[in-house]
Amino acid sequence: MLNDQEIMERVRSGQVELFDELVNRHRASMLRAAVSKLRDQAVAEEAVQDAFLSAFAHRHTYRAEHSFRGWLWTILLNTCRGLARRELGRIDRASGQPESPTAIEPHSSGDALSRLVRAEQAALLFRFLDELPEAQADALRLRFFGELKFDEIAHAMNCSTNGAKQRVRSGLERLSAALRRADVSSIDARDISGSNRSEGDNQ
Amino acid sequence: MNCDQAFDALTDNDLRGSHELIQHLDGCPRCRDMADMLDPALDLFTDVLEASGEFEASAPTDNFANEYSDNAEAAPTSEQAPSTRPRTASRPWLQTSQRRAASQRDGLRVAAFLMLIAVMVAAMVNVERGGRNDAVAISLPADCQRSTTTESSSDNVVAGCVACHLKAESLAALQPTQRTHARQLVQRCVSCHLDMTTDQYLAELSADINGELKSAPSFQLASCLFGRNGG
Repeated sequence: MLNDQEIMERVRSGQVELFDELVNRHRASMLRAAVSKLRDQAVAEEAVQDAFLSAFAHRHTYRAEHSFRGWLWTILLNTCRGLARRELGRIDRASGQPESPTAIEPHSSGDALSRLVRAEQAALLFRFLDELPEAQADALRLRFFGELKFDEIAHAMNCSTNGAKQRVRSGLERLSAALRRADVSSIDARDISGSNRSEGDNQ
Repeated sequence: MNCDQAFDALTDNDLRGSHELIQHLDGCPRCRDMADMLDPALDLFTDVLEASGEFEASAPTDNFANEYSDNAEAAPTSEQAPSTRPRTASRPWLQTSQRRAASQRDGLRVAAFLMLIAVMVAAMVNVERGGRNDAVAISLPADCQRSTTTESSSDNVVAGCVACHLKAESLAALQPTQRTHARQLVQRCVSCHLDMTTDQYLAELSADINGELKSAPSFQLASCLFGRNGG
């Protein structure tokens, strides 16, 4: 199986249909990250689409010695920032009040309550990410949603590998501290759904 | 696995429950403290990623390149996304409702299976950690704790580890089982951070105090351990 760099080389040399494979590989993780950053499913989908469009349009500027994922995620982060600014302006013009964010809509097994708890967990995570310094939050998104290696994060964020690690570590520390303060670690969809099932069994 | 690789594994969803990582955490109190500290955030990320099975299951099925190759010139002209792009722009890879429903069903099965695996791994990790906590009956002083502000060198990490766990007075104060554990702990610490045996390390410390290396970072530790001032 071809790796990303090899596919990109072929796309650059004219086999543009291979770009579909890159979209297939990276769309899901990019969409997760975009949703967490933009807090709106539709805008996030637009951001991902724009990022792929931009990558495709500028495929000749890609240099094979760099990680494709690092390059692609740089584009996504820039795209998200641009769309976030545009959305902010749109909201300001419309009402002066931000719309309530649309968090990720988890689709997992379990009953309605466990789905609700999971949606709440996602909303909570996104809210805490919003409260972190942007560099730390983006580093966490790239690491966990994008599953990028630290050297790829470093490339995407224009910092050293150690700097990328430090951002992830500091972000996780702050996030953990915030979660402990909020005492939300007890929220566990599995526990709740499990106890619901037990209650159901008993009745 | 060294501490750097342990952090990589700890923040990697696939490697977080790996045997290698657990083994490292078992022998490295510093990393174990870090793992415990970061657990709430790591758990939340894991839960949210598990819940987002919808995105994993959905995949683009239409041909992006074919549809867009003709419009490539109309695409953004810089890496910065165009702010004028209409929000209603077509999204060639979005699913039809039928495909989405099918992928959601697949996603349900995958998510349920992954959740089962995650629960089993989490239970195993908890059992491992519980047993380990029982074994480690030594409270770690400040020197042995992870610093949040500065990165210690390997020498400093080992020096702190040895100073606490092998210092004659401390060792004598321990119960026999705790003493054995303290020695094992230091052996792991030294072999992981300095790639040498504890005896070799102690020999180096002894050389420091007997030689002219009074400016060496380990001199003070050596003096403390060997009960001499080097003078």
